[in-house]
Amino acid sequence: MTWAARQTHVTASLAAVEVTLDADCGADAAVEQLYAAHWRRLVRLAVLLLRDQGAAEEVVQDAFIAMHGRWRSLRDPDKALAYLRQTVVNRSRSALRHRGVVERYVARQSRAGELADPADGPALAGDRRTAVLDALRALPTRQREVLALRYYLELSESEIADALGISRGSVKAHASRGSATLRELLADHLHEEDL
Amino acid sequence: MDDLTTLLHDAVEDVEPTDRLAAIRQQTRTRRTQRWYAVGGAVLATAAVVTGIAIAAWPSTDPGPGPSKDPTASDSVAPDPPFPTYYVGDTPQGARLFRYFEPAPEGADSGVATALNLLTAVPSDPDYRTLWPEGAFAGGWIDYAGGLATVLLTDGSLHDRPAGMSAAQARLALEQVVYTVQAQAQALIPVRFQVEGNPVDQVYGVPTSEPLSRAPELDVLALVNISNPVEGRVVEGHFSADGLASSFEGTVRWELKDAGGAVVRSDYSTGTFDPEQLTEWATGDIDVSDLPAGTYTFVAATDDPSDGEGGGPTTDTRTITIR
Repeated sequence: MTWAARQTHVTASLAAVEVTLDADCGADAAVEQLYAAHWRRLVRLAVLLLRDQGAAEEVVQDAFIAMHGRWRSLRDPDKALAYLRQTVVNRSRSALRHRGVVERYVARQSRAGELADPADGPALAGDRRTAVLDALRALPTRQREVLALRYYLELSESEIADALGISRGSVKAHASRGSATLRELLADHLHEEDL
Repeated sequence: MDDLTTLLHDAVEDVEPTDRLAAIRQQTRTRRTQRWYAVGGAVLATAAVVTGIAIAAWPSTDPGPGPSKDPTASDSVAPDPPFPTYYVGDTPQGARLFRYFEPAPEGADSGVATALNLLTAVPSDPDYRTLWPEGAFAGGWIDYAGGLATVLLTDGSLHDRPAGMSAAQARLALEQVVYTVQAQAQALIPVRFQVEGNPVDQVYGVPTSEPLSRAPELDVLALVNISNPVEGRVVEGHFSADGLASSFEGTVRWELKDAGGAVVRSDYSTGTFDPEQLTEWATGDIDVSDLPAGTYTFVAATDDPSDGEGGGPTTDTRTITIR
């Protein structure tokens, strides 16, 4: 190997090491940065999806850990935030589905369908707030997700489509159906606001 | 601002999440340590002292009593909720976890302690086994406020990985516990292990100084799983089946076979596909009113468009009785 070639080789190796270090430090830094900016908002999003604050915190915490693991392929705070959102929605759905399977099973076995509400957290007070969370819970999962992303995170149609992995047309359809039902369910409270 | 925007913001305005940055830091650190350990551990653990615990590779010949009660009969008392329990079964990807809804043991308390005890008993479905010996657990609880679940081991005898258990099996055994406890918690809550109130640094040779989070579903769960019917269910006239799967385009193939192995019903059920997790599938109503009474096997399988190149489909089965 010539001196010049060796020099290039060494420089290239060093660069590779630096990139690796950057990627690792970057993951930690990204977690700190995104946690500071988005932790509360993402937990609140998950509460809209799940109702239960403890479960919501678990889901978002888990999403941050997953994001840390994926940092090498994300490498960008915007992409990382999009990934966090998507993961929070997916894992909330999974948590709900799990709860749903158990509840349906019990309902089927007992034929009564009477269940203590496992999601009754200690913290959520206020009639209207409870009514909104109840109404969201009554919606089909996709509609609930679309509404939470649209009205709470205030994402655009195409951002929602990306986050949920569905077409913009579907987003539109879920949004219009969901908001119609929600307005109906919350008519009293919406009326109250007009006054 | 839109009226719904106001309502949704208002609905969660009071939610003040607890600070979990420390927990997140801790777990992102733990992950790295674990990965490193997994490499070193495979070599080190061969020298581990074997304590003579018989590892429960339960013989699958004894089906156990199973749920003999006719679930279609109307009970005057609503039965206790079943326990989602994660057992080990074989798949083309190797040993994986299957979720099974075990009926609540008579007189058992609800909660983690019972779920853990079910992990040490013979699974109701003979296709499954567990990696935990009888009497392994002394109890457990969930602390939602503290965000931590605790599993008590009876003693220190499961500290090291015993002879005959691979490192992968040891990790799967721990996932059995984490998934089962989190199913009870209905939350993705980290799980720590203790013996008599003291933390243990490893279980089956797997580091447990930091609480454990679950591994991703697609890494540890069987890619198809039957929730209903349960093993030994008696059906009359018709039934339906459902479960979870991660299958090509969300398609699950199902078959009903008679005692001679002949397929008497089969169809596809379509669902959704999610790259991160299993999703629900369901058959809808299956009419079996024209079939002779007897024992049948219901089989659910992932769709395998590669024609076996990827190891073939994963299957899960249930024995049912038609009368």
